[in-house]
Amino acid sequence: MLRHGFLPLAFALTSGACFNQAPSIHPLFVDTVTVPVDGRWHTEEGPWHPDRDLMTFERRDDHYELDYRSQECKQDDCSVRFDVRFGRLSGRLFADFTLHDGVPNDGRNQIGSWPVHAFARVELTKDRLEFSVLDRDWLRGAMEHRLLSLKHENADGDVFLTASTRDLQRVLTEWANHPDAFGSTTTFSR
Amino acid sequence: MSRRLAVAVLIACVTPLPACLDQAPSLHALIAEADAVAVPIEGTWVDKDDLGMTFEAAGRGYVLELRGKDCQDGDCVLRLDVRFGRIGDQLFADFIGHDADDEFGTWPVHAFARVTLDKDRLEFAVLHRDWVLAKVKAKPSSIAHEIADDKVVLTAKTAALRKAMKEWMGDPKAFGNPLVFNRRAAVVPVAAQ
Repeated sequence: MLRHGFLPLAFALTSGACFNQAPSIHPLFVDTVTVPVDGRWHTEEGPWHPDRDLMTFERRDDHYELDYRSQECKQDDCSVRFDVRFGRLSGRLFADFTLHDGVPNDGRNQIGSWPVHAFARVELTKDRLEFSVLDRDWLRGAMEHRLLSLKHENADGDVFLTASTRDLQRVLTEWANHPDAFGSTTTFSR
Repeated sequence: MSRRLAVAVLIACVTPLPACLDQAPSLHALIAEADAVAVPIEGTWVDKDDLGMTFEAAGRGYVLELRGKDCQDGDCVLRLDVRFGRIGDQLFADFIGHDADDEFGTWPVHAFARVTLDKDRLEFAVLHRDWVLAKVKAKPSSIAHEIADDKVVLTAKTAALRKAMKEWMGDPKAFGNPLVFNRRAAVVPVAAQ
C-alpha cells in the first residue's frame, strides 16, 4: 500500500517495522518540556545511508513540530511531519512522536492504518541527538513474563498499548534505564 | 512521488475505505480466516469516477488493488487484504493494509463494510466511526474500545465484534452511504474474436 509520506523514514529513522515501535493509542506526554532541539539535524552518510536524512524541529505551543525528509526531498509532499513532545522520567529525556494533526502530509488517514504514538529515549547534547525507540519485542516479553503490567491488546501477535498516559509514565519511569527496553540508537548531528 | 501522492489523495476521497468515509478502525478482525468465504468478486470493478478495484484470490481472502483512472503502473496502486464473511444473511468485508505492515507513527487496522454483491454490481457501506463513537459514549459497556482525541478505536475481539455487528447491522445509521461499483467487462483479445 502507499506509504508515500514515510518513504524517507525507511532508511534512516527507519520504518516502524525496522524500528520495532511499540504503538500506543494514548500519548506518553500531553505537553512538552523545553529542550534545545530547535533547528536542523542530519544523519551521517554511510554504506546504508548514501543520502543524508534531514530533521527539522520547530517549537509550537505545547509541542515541537518535526519535519523529516531525505536529502533529495525538495517539496513538502515527500516529507513527513510529526508532533513531538519531550518529557523527563527518572531523570531521563523521552520523546512522544505522533503524526502531525494525526494524519500524513496530505491531510488524510492512511487507508488501512491508524495514527499512533511511538516513544523513544533521547540523548541530547549540543550537537548530537540520539533516539532509541521503546522496543515492542522487549515489551511483549516483559509482559509475558509478568515483569510489568500495562494495559494492551495482542493484535496479530503484536502488542498494541491501550494504557492511559498515567500508566505509561509509571511503567517507563520504572524501566527508563533498562538496557534492553529501547532499541538500537539512531544518531543525528546538528 | 508527486504522482503517487496525487493518486493516493484521489483514491482516499472516493474509495469506500478509511478517511473520507470515516470508518471505525478496529485492532481485531471481524472475519476470522476460518470464517472467510469465497465470493464471485474476482476481476475489476469501477465506480462513476473511474476508480478501479481489482480483486484477486489469495488464500482464504483476496488482495485488492485500488487505482485511480490515471494510474498505469504499480507505483500508484494501493493494496489491501480483504476477507469476506457472513453474519446472518448479510455479507461483510474486512479490510486491512496488505501484509499489515506498520510504519513509524501508524499501525495497521481493520475496517469493516456491509457488502451487497450482485453479478455486476458491488456496494460497500463502511461502519461509521461517528455512529460507533456516539454508541460507546452512550453505553461504554456496549463494546470494548478506546477513545483518543475524541476518536474511537475498537479493541473488541473477533467474537465480540461479530456479536455487536449482528445487533448493529439492522440500523441503517450505523453505516455510511454505500459506494457503488460496476464490473468492468473483460477485454477480449482481437485474435480470440
